[in-house]
Amino acid sequence: MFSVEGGVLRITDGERETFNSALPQLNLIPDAAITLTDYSITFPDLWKGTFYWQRRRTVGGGIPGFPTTDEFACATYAALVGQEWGPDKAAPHNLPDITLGTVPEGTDYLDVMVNLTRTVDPALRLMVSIESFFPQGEWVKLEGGSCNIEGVHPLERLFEIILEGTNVILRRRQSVSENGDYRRQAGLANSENELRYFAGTNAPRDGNKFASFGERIQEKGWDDDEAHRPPGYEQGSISNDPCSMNYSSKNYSSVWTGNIIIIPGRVGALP
Amino acid sequence: MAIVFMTSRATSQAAIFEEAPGGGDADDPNSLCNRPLLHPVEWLANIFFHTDLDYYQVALGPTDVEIEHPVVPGKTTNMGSVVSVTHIGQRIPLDHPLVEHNLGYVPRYMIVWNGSVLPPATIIQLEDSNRKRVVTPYATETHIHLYESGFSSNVTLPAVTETYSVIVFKAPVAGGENLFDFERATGRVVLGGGKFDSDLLRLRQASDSAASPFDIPLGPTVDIANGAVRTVLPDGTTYEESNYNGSFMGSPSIECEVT
Repeated sequence: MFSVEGGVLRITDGERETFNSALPQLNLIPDAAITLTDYSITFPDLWKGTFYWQRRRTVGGGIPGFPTTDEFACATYAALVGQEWGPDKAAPHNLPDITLGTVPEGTDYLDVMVNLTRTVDPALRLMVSIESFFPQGEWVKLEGGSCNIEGVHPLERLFEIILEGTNVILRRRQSVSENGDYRRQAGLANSENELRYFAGTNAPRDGNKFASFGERIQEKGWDDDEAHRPPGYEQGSISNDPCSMNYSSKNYSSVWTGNIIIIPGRVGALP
Repeated sequence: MAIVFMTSRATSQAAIFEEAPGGGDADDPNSLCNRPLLHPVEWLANIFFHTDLDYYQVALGPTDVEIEHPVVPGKTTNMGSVVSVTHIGQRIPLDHPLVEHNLGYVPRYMIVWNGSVLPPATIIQLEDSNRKRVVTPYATETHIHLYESGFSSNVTLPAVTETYSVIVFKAPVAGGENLFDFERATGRVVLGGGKFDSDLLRLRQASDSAASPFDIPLGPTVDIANGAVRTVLPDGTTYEESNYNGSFMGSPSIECEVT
């Protein structure tokens, strides 16, 4: 039934009201859709230093007359410092917004579907991959436009597809916790068993702050004919062969590639 | 301004709209007051229904589906040899088919959980020690699925049973030529050759008397800070991991219903 009463147009089907001009439906504009094919969403590498774990142990000596022996080992890890990245952050943590396209005036709603696959994997958290909560290669509807796409403590990443005026914006954020595993400190100078932090770009030493273990860089030992102490902490008379401290070899950038369909629409407001 | 229902045989358009300013012959589609009929995108705010636009027409549902999310056992993994480092916890992914729609294409959908439409990667279970369960709905050409990731610590993540209301939408299609058809015997109204059919369900903003309204977000629902997540669902329900130190309060939302 079609009726107009009190300035309101209504359509009813039996007892059911199927249309009411005072209760707008969400209208979509398919001809104004923004379609992106093989589009890549990139998250940059993180700022990090190096954790250097030097070890020494004494073996033997359990049988009288047989001497003890000192053995040495080391392990190095990328060390992720606390950091926040986004469009509102200054360099070196700025992730600028990206304009994906424009939509008609009056748009106040976006219907966003994405089908993405991670084509560049970030380095590991210890020996565990940075997990994704996302069904890769499948079509996902982004209610509200936001997507927490990957993360394992201490790292989280998200992207948003949002409306600003008539611009459709891709916004990215990444965050590493300040509540890390160990202090970013040099440790005791003469200690043989010590976990030391070495600075990286935009990741200085600061004993009041923490870093989190990332992927292991290298491991050496146990050896009794050479030590494995870090540079600057060589002691004793035997040769020293340190573990690599090349944190740059562990890249935490991440790339998601696929198709995105954005249909603008209008919700309007209740009168 | 008046609410108008008008058709244009010349352009095969039909619309329900609020008059535009400018006056003119109310019966002439070319009058200034009737510009929303011929130019709907330029007069988007005036449009209630238009054959040139799509809307969320219901293909299937709302259908309630109960899912038993299983236990994720606690785990500690020793890593390394010369240096022992322990990784706490594990992640177990799992896929749950929710409904079969068999539309032959990937449709729009909405999953309603506890009165809110479910955004992707929503935390539906949060326990201490970073234990959580995160779900993301997705669609294929035949089904709607729920992809979950359950995270334990050294402590087990307990099982939980949740009910999801699944709505599958289709793009409305015009199949006939009549721009307006009214069946007196049944009261059925068809506009735009079937683009609007009062026999079919659609999504709209909820009335005060709606039986089961649900909230749809109009902006972001997730924030991250200090390596942790805060989710604010459109009904205001909040899940926040312990390390989160941001100030995200959620986004505006609208209350909707299927009718």
